[in-house]
Amino acid sequence: MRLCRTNALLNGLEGRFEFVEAAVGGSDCTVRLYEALENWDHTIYPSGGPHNLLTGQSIDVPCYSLKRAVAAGCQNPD
Amino acid sequence: MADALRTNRLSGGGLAQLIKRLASKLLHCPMKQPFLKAFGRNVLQPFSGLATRLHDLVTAPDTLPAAVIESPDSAPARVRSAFNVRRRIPVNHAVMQWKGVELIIRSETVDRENVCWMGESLFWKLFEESATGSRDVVLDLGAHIGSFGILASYSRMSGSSL
Repeated sequence: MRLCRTNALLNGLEGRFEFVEAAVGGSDCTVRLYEALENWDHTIYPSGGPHNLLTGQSIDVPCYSLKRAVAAGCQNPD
Repeated sequence: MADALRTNRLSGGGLAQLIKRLASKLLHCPMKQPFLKAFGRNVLQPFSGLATRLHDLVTAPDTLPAAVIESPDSAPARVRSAFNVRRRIPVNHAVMQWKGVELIIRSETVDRENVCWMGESLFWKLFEESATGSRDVVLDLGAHIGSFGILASYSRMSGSSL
């Protein structure tokens, strides 16, 4: 997310983005995200796996249903 | 009960493990008393094999089998190491220019490949063919480093040459 924000800033597009740190899933809830060495390996499984090497850090992330995420996007056009 | 002991939940790894841990706890107390320690040494002198096994039992670190722990977060540090928990490796960054935008990417990762792939992907072709205007809202779920969103935003800016 930090790199995405930085890249928007670098290109003068920060005003055109709204960054939301949340997951999108089947329902509105909170999920615990376990950090992996690579950002595409972060997982909701606490034990990780052979392809999800974990750092031991985790954070609670709000999770929105797709319906709510789309509705929120439509309400904030600018 | 016997099954529970054998399969570990109560004993922490089976009946033999439970007996071993109990014996270890019981032997720790006399080992702290110099008098009892010397007495035990004299009594066990003729039985060197037994003396060695008891010594190993008392001095061995108190460990639980990793399989007993279900969550790495709740486990002690020495057990957590069994769960592939590693330290994050510092990442080097580079700037790449791509279709009119500049992106900071992480060197030695798939970032560069991913950005190049995105520009040729079906997602991008469909976006280009769509009537999405500069006032429309695009949800970019799992936005990576902005490889799609930044290019999409840039392409719909007035005066953009993309």
